[in-house]
Amino acid sequence: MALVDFLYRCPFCGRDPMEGKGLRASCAGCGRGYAPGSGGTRIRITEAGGTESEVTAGELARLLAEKGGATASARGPDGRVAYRSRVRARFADREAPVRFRGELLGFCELFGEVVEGVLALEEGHLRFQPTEVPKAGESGPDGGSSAWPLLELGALQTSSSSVQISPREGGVVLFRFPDASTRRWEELLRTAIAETWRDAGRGEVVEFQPRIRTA
Amino acid sequence: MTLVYRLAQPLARFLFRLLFSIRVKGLEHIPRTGPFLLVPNHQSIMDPAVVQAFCPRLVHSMTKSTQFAGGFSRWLMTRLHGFPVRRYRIDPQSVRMVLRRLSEGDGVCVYPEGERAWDATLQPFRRGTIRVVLRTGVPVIPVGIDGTWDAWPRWRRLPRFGVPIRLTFGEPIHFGELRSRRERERALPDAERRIREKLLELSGEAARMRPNPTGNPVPHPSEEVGR
Repeated sequence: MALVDFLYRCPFCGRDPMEGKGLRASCAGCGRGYAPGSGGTRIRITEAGGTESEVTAGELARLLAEKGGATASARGPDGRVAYRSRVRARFADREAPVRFRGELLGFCELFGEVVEGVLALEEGHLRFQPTEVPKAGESGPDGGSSAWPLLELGALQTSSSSVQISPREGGVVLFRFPDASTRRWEELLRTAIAETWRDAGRGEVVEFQPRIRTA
Repeated sequence: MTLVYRLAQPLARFLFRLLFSIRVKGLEHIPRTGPFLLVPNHQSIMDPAVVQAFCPRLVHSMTKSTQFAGGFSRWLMTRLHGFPVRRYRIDPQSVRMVLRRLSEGDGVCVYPEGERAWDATLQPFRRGTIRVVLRTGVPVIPVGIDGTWDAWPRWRRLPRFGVPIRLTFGEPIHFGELRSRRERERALPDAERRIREKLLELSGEAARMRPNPTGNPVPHPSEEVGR
């Protein structure tokens, strides 16, 4: 991952997306550069004229949210959240017990091989279209795309550099984004789920894991 | 305690002291005997290692289930006294493990935020985790972690060395024996508030949030004197 996973758009001018890789990010709009600061959760900002300052990451996150966050430039013609990215997906439809010295400690999900494809958030659904058909016997979509209505999701969780969904019917699907911000996708999915559930009269979503829960 | 834990703990302490500027406070708040719960804030992938390295007693860590999927990581996690929690569903087995380890007289570490923060700020707590905390009836020790985000935030591939890290064990919070679900539900908002306040204070986030009328820079943890 990279700093642009966190600062996916400029928190000062709102330009989307930010550019950069690794520990540096820059805005082609206002010319500001961003890099890790001197500590205390600070990010160093270099203005176009060369002036430097440091702001906490929390403050930058707040400014980014004020600029519209992830959804400001991710609305379809119907007003719903819409976005798409290349992904690497893994499907888990089984769990395995975790034992140590004969004692059952718990369970973990077993993911199949990586399936490359495109993830699209649109019209109240999350759709995955593989670019290759998985081999026989592997966990994954059976040759075609998968679509999960947002109203039928059981949980949404984030884990390191991935986003995971748990459909109500069972299983877990993990998505990694080779050229998109994981944080952006987290925010988009949270917003889309909350709006869809609210519009369907289910109430305000207050939690996304371990179950999507409304107030 | 497994042999791997016995060997890993002093090694981890040595490496953290060598590679970072680490300061630990509040060790006197950890009970010398009997069960206890550690509830830290969560800034970085390093946090569980830092907490277990410097806590003088054995701590079992509730760890996301994906850490147990691979052969080597499962081997290591189990020997470091981790146990899995499936975060995509209600997981009664993980609750049983918390209660079982506490009944054996050990410490258990749970992270109420459930995942690392992108921006080092304290995130909303998982209500289920606070419910488990209230169910245990043991001393709850808030643990403030500051600096691990600067060393290894979520978006960074490799850690940055030499960063000041501060680990602060707070005074135990006693919620008492809440036997019924109704009592625990009633206590939930206050428990959440108390733990949150302590973590904001112990992690230094509260100080960063305060308005700074003098305009002078707020001291960074590395500039503080003494332990």
